[in-house]
Amino acid sequence: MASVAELKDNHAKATAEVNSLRERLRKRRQMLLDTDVERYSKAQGRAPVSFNPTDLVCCRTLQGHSGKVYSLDWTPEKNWIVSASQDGRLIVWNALTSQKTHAIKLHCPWVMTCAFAPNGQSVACGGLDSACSIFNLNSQADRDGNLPVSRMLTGHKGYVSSCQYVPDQETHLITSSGDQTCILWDVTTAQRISIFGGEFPSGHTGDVLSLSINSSNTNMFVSGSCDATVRLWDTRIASRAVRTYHGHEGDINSVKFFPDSQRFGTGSDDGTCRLFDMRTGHQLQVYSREPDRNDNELPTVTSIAFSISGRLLFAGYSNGDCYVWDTLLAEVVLNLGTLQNSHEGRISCLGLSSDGSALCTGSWDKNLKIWAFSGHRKIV
Amino acid sequence: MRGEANGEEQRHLHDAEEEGEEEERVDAQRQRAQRAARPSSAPQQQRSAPAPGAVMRSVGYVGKHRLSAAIARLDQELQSLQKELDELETMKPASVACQEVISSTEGKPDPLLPITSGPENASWERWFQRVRSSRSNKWWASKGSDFS
Repeated sequence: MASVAELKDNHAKATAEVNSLRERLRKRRQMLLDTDVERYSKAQGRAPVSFNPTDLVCCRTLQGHSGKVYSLDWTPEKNWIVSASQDGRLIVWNALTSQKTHAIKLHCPWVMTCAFAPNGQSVACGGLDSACSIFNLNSQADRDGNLPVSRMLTGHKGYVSSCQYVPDQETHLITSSGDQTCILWDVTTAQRISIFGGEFPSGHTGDVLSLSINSSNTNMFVSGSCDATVRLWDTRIASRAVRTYHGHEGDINSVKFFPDSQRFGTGSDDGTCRLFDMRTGHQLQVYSREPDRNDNELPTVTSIAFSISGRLLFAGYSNGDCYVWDTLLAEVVLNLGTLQNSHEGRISCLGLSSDGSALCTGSWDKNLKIWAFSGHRKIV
Repeated sequence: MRGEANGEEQRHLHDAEEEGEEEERVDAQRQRAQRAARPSSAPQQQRSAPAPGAVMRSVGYVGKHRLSAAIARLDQELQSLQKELDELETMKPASVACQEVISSTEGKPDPLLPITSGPENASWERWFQRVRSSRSNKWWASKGSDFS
């Protein structure tokens, strides 16, 4: 083997080459960014979405958690929502009637994420126990009224930050973790099918905080990380990320595919949301707040969701704002945080019902709220 | 290898890599772990930045092995970056994708938009209709106290 001095020298040379190539790549990419969505839309003479003050209203407040709400997920059919809270419980709600159908006490109270299975029969959750627990909602409660864990997915070496079932596969689930990896699981056997990142060179270099599975091609998913990048993965090729997306300047707390499945949105600690093109890697738009007049610290983006057409981008912020962005014109057209009956704390999570008719927001004020359109709708 | 609290070995690599960058990433990770952490009983992420003024220890075989592995990873990254650079030669500019984004939002009925294409779906209004509770025989207005 070469001497230490030679190895160090080679390492320094390789590092310099990588940095130089990265810079060339950055410049070349810059040249391809001939416009962004906002400029392109304005050039076409498009007008922003215009809401009347009472168009979007809070039509339900789901009260029941005794701690901050951290995560929520809708069922693909029905109107059920599962939420996870600092109180160490999962609650399953019928969003239409506001009733709680299940209240699940967790073994590890430090839960960070929850998800509904595609058939609505099971829920998954994970957190600081570094595991993902699965509960079958039809199972018999024990003497204390608690649902038993039907499966424990163990193997992560750090907290589970996010979990999502693969849309057309009841038995597959993907988790993201503070151990810098994502894992694809077979829920029936509780086995790891693939690990994305970790040992392999193109994995994240920071905690992975969020993930989103492509609904049109469920072999593809994106993950957002504290390393300020998003990575695209093909579940059939775990050995390396398909692409890495740069642009953000802080932890990426939320990542969601755009409805056309060819783009995805992100929300970050740098206070911005961004829209990226999946295939080319182009950053198509940045959604930046106006700086605070009082020069307070910029609120961070905690969670995002697109309306069913993609025309609206909902973004929850650490200061309780919930901006409704016109995705095409990059303008804030409404702030749910200032409406009547809005949350009294940070918005930590949000999600659309499967038919796109309702938005659910979860907050550190311990509540969930449902928002829907109650104004006059014009059909064209 | 990554993610392990193996501060000793990592220190050797830090001398060769950009230390400032590494420290920033470590701080971000620590902040994230702290944000996620609960009162002291919860497990903490273990990650140590090199101590200021740390003395470079003698490397030995394990150090050489680590350096070689790091060089191999850098070589792989070089290949991947070169491949990406080649892709950019024939890649379409952002304007093409921007047009696709605009087109994709059109023609899709969106219940949350004040102006949207049809067809309208009656079930969109279910949030404002009287709802029958499955537990009681009473009807109650779904509008409740949230409406003025």
